[in-house]
Amino acid sequence: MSDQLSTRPSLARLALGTAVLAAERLRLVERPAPDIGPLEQPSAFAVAVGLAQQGADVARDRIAQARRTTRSLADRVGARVRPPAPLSRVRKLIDSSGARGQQVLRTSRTSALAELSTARDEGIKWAETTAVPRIVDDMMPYLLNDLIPRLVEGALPEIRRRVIPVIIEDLTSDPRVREMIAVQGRGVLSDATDELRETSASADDAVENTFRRLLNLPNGHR
Amino acid sequence: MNRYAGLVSRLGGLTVDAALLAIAVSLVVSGVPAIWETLAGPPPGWLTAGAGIVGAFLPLLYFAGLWWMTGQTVGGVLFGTVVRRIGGGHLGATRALLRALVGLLFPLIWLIGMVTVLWDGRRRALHDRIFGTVVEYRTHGEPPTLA
Repeated sequence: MSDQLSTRPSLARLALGTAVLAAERLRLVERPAPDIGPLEQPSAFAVAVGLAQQGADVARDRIAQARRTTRSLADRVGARVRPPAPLSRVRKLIDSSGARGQQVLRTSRTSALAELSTARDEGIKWAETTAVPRIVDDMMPYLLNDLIPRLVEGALPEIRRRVIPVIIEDLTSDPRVREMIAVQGRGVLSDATDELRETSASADDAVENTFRRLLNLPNGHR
Repeated sequence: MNRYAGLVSRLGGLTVDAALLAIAVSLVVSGVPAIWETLAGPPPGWLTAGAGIVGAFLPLLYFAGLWWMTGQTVGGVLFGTVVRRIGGGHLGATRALLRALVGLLFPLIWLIGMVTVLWDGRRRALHDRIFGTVVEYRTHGEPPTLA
């Protein structure tokens, strides 16, 4: 019951799994194999966890029984723990506790990993949508009014000294730029010539009309 | 717009031609002997005389040649005017030469005769009437044609 993965692990399970993950990161323990092999020796920690788990299960059972029956809890617990256990039974208990503890550690680790991944993703999402935009907005005045001007001022001498001469050199020697300048020049000349012709033609008409008006001559045919 | 070029355009083109010729003639008449003097000492008489003759004929060659070949001088290109016969054809070599010669020999009459442009129906000057020519606007996009 307690070993099965639930949709939301308990706090204890989560703490246990997180501790296991942290220990793995710190290389204090080996990462457990996906399945319990027949020759795999459970660690002392796994045994302890298994014992604790079994102890918790036993306690849970006994409390449930004590509620249902009229016999005293002390007799049942005393009857179970009072007689000294033979060595084989103790070994068997340790083995079963170890196996169980390993299982618990695995499931706890898996649950903790899933929970931490979810928490991490949610944290990242929150940071992306809330924290980072807000930080950027708050920093904008400082960036615009202080940092960027200082960066530009500091970079300008270097840009003037090293970048601009290279750009000028590239532009002046690039045949495409020269062609463009030549085309632009021809265009400007052509436009200026057209403008001159239109202006002089208009002036021709104006002078002739004025002359005809002064001498009261009729308009000549065109 | 009138098809024939008026007083302002023709005088404007003439001014440009005159300025160009003034520079060219001075370069030929003075420049060539000066270059000779710079390179090889005082220029010989034949060089100075030759430069003078070329300089003297340069305007005639300029106007006659360009009117005959294309109908346009440099001033005409700038102001968009072209000299044609009344029917629209190109000027022949003789007509172009005579027209240029009369204009250069009698510049004052040439200029005063341009007053008739103001009332002539085809805006012809006195020398145009004499030589049967007209000066038209070259339409935009019309390519220059050789005689």
